[in-house]
Amino acid sequence: MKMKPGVKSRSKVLGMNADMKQMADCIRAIAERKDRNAFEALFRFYAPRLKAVLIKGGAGVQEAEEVMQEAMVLVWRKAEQFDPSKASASTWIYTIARNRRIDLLRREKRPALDPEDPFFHDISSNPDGEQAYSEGQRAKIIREFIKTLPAEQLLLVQKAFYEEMTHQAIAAELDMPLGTVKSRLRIAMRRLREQLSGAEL
Amino acid sequence: MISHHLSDDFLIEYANGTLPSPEALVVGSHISICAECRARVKTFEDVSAVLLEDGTAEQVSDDVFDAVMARLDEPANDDVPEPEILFDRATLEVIPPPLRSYLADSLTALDWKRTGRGIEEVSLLREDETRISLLRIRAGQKVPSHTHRGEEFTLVLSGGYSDGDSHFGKGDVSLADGTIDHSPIADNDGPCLCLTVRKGAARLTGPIGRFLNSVLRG
Repeated sequence: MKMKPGVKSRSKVLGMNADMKQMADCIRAIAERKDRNAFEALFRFYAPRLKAVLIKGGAGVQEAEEVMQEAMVLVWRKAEQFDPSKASASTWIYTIARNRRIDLLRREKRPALDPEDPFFHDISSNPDGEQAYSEGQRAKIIREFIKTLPAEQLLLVQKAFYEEMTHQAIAAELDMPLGTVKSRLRIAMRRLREQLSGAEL
Repeated sequence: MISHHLSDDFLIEYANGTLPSPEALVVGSHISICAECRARVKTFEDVSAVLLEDGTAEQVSDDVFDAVMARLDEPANDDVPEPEILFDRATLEVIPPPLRSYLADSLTALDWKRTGRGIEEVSLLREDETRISLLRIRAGQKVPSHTHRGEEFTLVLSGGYSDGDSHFGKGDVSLADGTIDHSPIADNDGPCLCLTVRKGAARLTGPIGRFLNSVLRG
């Protein structure tokens, strides 16, 4: 089945400033009707970014492409498990790719938690009540928060959360005590959690 | 009500996918029970997701795209193998999903070894300097006073125990190292089942003691 022409225009719409609501709709479209155009839209946006992040994290180009491809195939297969009220499209896809990376590059398993598992039958899925904000609002708050980070904290956050370096490796690279790396990241995340909860913690 | 959590350092490295597997097992099992820490991990994943959205893009060729499209109709093979073991319900309700692949059988069928008065242990993994075990302590049993050569994580899976002024119930985690001399006592109302992850002395050269204080929060 050829689909390139139709898809090109769609990926242009979604391009760099992709509307994340549309991304979630694409995952739903795959779940509901195996929509290949929707998959292509996701692929055009996420595949190059996943590849980039994997290379930043130290994978070779071929390894990065392998993990990315595996992850995108899993996005197709697992689309029915996506729940837009629990995670944004990006967070869902990020965790699939992260778990795939752990499985393939570190040869260990990190299966996703299945909320239907008997283990959770007496454990409420979210006992602290609802989140203060929707997934879309949360992403916006996080984006704004990252913009306001002082340069040195931003660097640490990028190395830990984007380049996926261990705290030990960050400390070595920046010639900083391990405890400093850990405490600065903790403080940054505490401030972020305050903003996301809309209250002082 | 869970009162002994893991510090955010562990949750951050877990979310970033950089925590070594024995510690990741402890975090994964803890957040299976602790909704608060699960929500924190989710927030940390959201941060990575935003950085991914705003991050750079590496060119992906049309050939790669075509290869992925061609794979979509393949039957889902064994990329996530189903567990071969059919655990009984009691096991499924007590053993958090991330821990199950370490178990050879349901709890009652495991090879429990008596390691002390009223204490039984099943070794789940012994590798290099890492030892992962399940520990079952009889109701009311006092565990003899001891210290640890390496760091030791203990996660309560059912029942509970007291250690000095602190009580540890289902989902609570403690992290002990050689500086801590403790003598836990299992609760009187039933046996206490714990996951323990011990890392050998060889890994203890780092400044464990320094961050120990930050590990127990709340």
